[in-house]
Amino acid sequence: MRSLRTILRPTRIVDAHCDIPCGIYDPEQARIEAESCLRIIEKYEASDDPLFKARCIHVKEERAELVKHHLNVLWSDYFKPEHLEKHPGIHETFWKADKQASKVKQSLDVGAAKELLLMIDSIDEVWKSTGGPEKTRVNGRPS
Amino acid sequence: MRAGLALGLALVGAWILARRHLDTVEVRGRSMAPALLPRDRLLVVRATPRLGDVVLARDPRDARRELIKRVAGVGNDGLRLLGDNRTASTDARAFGAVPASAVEWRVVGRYWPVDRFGPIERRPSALHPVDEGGEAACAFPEALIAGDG
Repeated sequence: MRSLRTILRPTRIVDAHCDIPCGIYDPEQARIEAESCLRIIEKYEASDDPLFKARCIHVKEERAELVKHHLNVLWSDYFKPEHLEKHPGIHETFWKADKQASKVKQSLDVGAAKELLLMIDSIDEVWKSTGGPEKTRVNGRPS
Repeated sequence: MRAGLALGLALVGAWILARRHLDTVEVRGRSMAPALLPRDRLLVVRATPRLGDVVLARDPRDARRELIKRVAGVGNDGLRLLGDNRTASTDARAFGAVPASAVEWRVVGRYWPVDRFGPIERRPSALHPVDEGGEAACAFPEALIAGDG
């Protein structure tokens, strides 16, 4: 015999759903963190203070992680299938930029940090060509 | 003996028939607050949606998800579904109208928790006029009432 509990149990879950999408996306967010990484590596190289150098490594790793975070949000939330049709290379570009951010996190290579900036700039171009500044920034993007 | 078998079959038949037209669901999320709260359990029936009904609909952006919202508008392009809790709802404002065929179930009542047992009323979607874009339709109703016209 079915227990009362079984009978009362709902058969499925329905969503009174809310994404709270703020709708603000800009590769600039990732770029600023990546610029921080570059400057920190330069400061690391210029310093003789072991404590300061240790702090540089610590903060640079945090910033590199933020680059990845901002890139991933942009990738998964801003870019839509229709963008992919026009720019079939988006996935590859983001994947490589993410990997580059990992490289910057792991190393103290100025070249790697500069390369990351270039990659973010190429993402920025795609974002601009899809109308990103007008669509996602409040009153367009401040120049 | 035979009558028992017949009764049994009739009950099974009635159960199967009922299952096609009646179901129970549990609410997740707060976009229908205060009318519906997370974990509320509801009785739903298969019925044509009407303006003001609380209904279930496939999420047009992700078919695996089933949404619960109120029918706020009926137009040529389909139904406009909105959450009662406007500031915390992803609804027609995000995904536009849904085809009427995508809305098969209507909420009739809540059976759990027991202290809030009862029917779910059909009512207008907004307590206050909502007008997106352009001038507010009715920004100062008291001014209209008190006007000298």
